[in-house]
Order: sequence, then C-alpha cells, then structure tokens
Amino acid sequence: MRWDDYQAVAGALHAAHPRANYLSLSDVDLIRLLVGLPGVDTAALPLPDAVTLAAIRFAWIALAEGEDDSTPFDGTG
Amino acid sequence: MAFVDGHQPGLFWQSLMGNNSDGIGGNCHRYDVVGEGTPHRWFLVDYGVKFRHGGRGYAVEFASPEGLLARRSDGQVEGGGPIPDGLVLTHAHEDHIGAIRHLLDMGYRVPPVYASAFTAAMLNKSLADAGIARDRWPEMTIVRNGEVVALADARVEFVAVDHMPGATALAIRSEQGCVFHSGDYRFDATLPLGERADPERLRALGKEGIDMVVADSTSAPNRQDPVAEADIQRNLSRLMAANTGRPLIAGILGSQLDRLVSLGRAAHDNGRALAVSGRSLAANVAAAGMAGLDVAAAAGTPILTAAEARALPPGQVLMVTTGAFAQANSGLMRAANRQPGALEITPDTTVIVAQRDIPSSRAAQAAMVAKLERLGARVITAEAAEAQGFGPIHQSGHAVERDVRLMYTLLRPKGLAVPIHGDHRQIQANSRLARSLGIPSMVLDRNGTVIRVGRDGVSVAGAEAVSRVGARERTDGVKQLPRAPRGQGRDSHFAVPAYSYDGLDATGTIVLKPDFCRSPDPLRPKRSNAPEITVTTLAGRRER
Repeated sequence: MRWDDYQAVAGALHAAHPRANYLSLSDVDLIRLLVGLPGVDTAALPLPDAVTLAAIRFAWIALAEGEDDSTPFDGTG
Repeated sequence: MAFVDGHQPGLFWQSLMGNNSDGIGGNCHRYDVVGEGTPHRWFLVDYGVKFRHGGRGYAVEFASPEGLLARRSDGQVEGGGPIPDGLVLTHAHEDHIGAIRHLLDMGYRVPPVYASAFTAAMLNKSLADAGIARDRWPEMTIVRNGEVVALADARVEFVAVDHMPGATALAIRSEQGCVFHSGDYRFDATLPLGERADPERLRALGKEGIDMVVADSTSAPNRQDPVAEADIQRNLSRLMAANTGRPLIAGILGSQLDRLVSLGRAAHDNGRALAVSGRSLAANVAAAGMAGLDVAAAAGTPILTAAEARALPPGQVLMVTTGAFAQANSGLMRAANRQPGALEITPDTTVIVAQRDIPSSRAAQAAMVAKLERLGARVITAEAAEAQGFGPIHQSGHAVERDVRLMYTLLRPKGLAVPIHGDHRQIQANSRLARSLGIPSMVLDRNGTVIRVGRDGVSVAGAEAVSRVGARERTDGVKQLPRAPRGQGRDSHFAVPAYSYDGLDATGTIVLKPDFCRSPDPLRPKRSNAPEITVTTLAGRRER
C-alpha cells in the first residue's frame, strides 16, 4: 500500500473501521489505525507525514459522507 | 506590469478580478514593490474563483495566470516578467483560494503560499480532492496573527479579523508606504472559534500610518446593526425549545463553523446530541482540528457522525448538514429529493435553515423549502424565524455600515480608501462611508487599474487590460488519479472532474484557443452512475 493513494487508504480504513468517528480522531489515533491495516509493513513503509495524514483523513470523510455536497460559496453570504 | 517597470519607487496595487465591473468573485490582487535602486519584486494576495452558475458554460472563471506565474515546463513567465515571490491567502473561501488547484492543473507553478493554519488545511484538501500530484503542491508556510512575513521587500503582517476561522487582514508595509488589505471582515467579539479582531491593534496600525485601505464592501449598504453570534445562539436555543421532541435538522454552509458551534451549544442547552452530516461540513470540522481549533470543545458537546447519531432517538439529536443555499448534492437538497442515503424527512421533522438567502440562491432555496414542506417538514428559514418571534438566526460574515465606519475610524488612512469585493451598489456605499469620514475614496471602474503608494502620496499609475480563464468540466472523461501498485489499490469511489480551460478577455470573449494550457494528466472514462437495467425482450433474451 502507498500512503499517497489516498482513496485506497481511505477505503481500507472505512472497511476496517466503519463506526469510527473520523471527525474527532486525533492524528495519533489515526496513525494507529493506519499501521494496523492489513498489508501495512511499517518496517518497509515510513509513517505518513502531516500533509499526507490530512489528505487521507479528507479522503476518508469523502468516502464516508458520500457524494460531494458541492458548496461553492462565493463569499456573498 | 508595465506601470511598474522603470517607474519611480513605490508600493503598487492592482486588482486583477473581483470588483464592481464584474461583481464579487475571483479575488486576486497583485502588489509590486519598487525600491530605490533595487530590483522590482512582487507577490499576490488571494487567487479565487468566480462561480458562473451555468452562465457561459463555465463552471468557474479566474484571473489568467499568463504573464503572472511561471510555467512548470520551463520555469518562465510568459513575456519574461519576474516570478512572484509568494501568494498570501486571507481566508479559505473559494472566491479567495479556489483557483489554485486549477492553476496547478493547467501546468503553472504556484509560488510559496503564506496562510493561516486553517486556510492551509483547506487548501491542502482542495489540492488532494482535485487529484493534484504532491510534487506540484506549492510550499506552504503557516503564519499566525501578529506575525510579519518578509516578502518581496515588503513586510506583511497578518491581522486578525472576524469572518471565518483563520481569516486574516494584511498590513503591507514597504519603504514607500503601507496598505491595509482587509480581506473579508466584520466585527463580532462573540464568535467562538479562533482569534478575534482587536480594535486596539487596528488603532495602533492607524497611528503607525496607513496610506491606503483596500476594503471589503459586500454588506456596506446594510444599515442595520449587526447581530452578535451569541444572540444568534440564544435565539437558536429558544427555537429548539419550541420544537422539543421533534427530529431536528439544521442547514448551514460547510464553512460556517462558528454557526455550528452556536447550534451545538443550543442543542446542548436543549438536551440534544450534536451530529454532522455532509462532506464539506465534515471536512471543515476536520480542518479546524488540524488547525488547533476544537469545534466540539467550543460547542460544549461531542460531535457525532450521522452514523453514530442513528443509534439515538431522532427527537434527541440535532443533525447539522449542508445546503443553506440549496446547493445541488448538499445534505438538505438530497433530503428534499429523497435520494438514497439522505437524511430522512418526516412530518415530525423540523428543518432550520440558519442562513438568509442571497439573490443567486433565492429561487433554489425557495424550491427546496417547498419540497421539504411537501414531505411534511416544518421549515423555519432565517426570515421565518424572525417573523415567528425567535429573533435573528443569521448574520452576514461581511462588515455592515457600522463595522465599515469602525474600521475606517480605527485605521484613519492618510491617502485613500479603495472599496473592493462588491457590486457597483456595494462599492459605492463603501466609498460614501469613507468620504463621510473625510477619507478620500476611489471607485475602480474596472479591474486592472494600478494604484501607486509612495512617499509623495497615493495616485493612479495607470490601467492594464486584464484577462481571465474559463474552466469547463470535461465530458470525455475524469482524471486518472495515481494508483497504488497492482494488487493494493482499488477503484476510486468517486471521480475527480477534469477541466478544459479557455483564455478569455475581460468581457468573457474567448481570445485563445481552448486548452491554451493543456493539463498533461491522463483521463479515464467516466463511470456511469446510472443503475444497470436489463430488459427482457419478447423473445425472452435479456439485454441491457
């Protein structure tokens, strides 16, 4: 698994932890879930950096919440 | 920029898009710093999109990067001009940062970005969502309010404002003068998240000397006193108390985290759990956490996912979702259309739309409310809440007349007030306010005007024609995202749109052939979202 395949990683997370609260999960807990995924060899794969972790979290949210709810906001509200 | 090269020293400002000639949206500003005998350097402030809502066939338009940014292919700016030293972002709304993913997609290099933690997190989300490869992402520096960034021979101070989490104004100082760039702002000391605007700091800036203020005009014509978020929270609490025991859904904008906190506090007051549904709202909550803003702690109650909330009796939950402007695929719209997986609307349900409509959303919002009511819901819009005696449950994030007066009174610009970020009526109102306080003001008729701030005063240096880009969603495929090695990856659950780009002049006429900067990213066919159907013919043979 590669950490930068955000959607695949998110898919694995969602499959393994369908009831997790992805909104309140700390970075530490998120890393713990990631390294516990099947097929992850921490000896061969360095831990994801903060930006990658964020991208994975956003991809997980997108997967769990469904279609993009398209909230273009042009700042006039 | 022609009016800067070889010109006398000064701090030059040019608005590339987002002024009264084409209304709000696509905010992009250029600041050039010319010193005594030093090379001319420059930077950008904001690079947003203007939504076209179907007009001209473009999803969005934004200021053209031609002649501004370097191409990734050769590291050069068309026309041979200097590369910008940086891009400063005032806040995370799409009309201020939304073009950046398109610039990268088109094959341009975005200079180093300077932004607050929340804004940087939302930009990262934007780039990841757009499938932009990490090696193309710009370098990002997190800046806190009060910190000063040395950029292009200027010193840029981030100044806290009240608008949304991470929003900032900029005090831009060079040897020649100082410009206060307001970004989007208002004054509300009761907003619960992040830092608040500090009138004493603004007064001190004014005493230090501000030559020009470039200021948000969106709500300048509004003469009503603004409603504090704390009062909105109290009104929401009363509204919820009047709906005890009923399933309750509130629709807001994804970025309205201060409102989410108010709703959460009101829910807690009424013994309800708080849950969030909707991708953009959930992403904003996550981004806030990354920026050190604990939305749940501010709300005084945990934030549940929609899945967790289903385990509770609906009458004990406040579900907050997206769709205050009735956007397609938002939580409220999906519920109104009874789409699979959407929130359920029953005759017991109360729906709160905690957002006043705006001209571009009015019809869609009315249609959504009608659909929800046909499903039996009791719908309370921001307008209806006041009419029913609950008081205001929404306040614009932009400065009303009273706030604009306060800003000008504190800053006391010596030279000029230049209203931006508004249509003609809004900008004129802002200009009148400045003049009523004895501050000279200039209304820009068009984008591209260059104003010089120097030791000898503020003046118009000239005007340039500015161009823009129209981005059209492609129908022949979607982006092919990087895939994990064979056997480890899986098909994407959602497609990333691919865009084609047309070069336009200021009137929107195509002046360059389509795909004038073609993205090299490969496409893959769109996966059909239509359900597979089989038809049995009269002969019994099954076909699709």
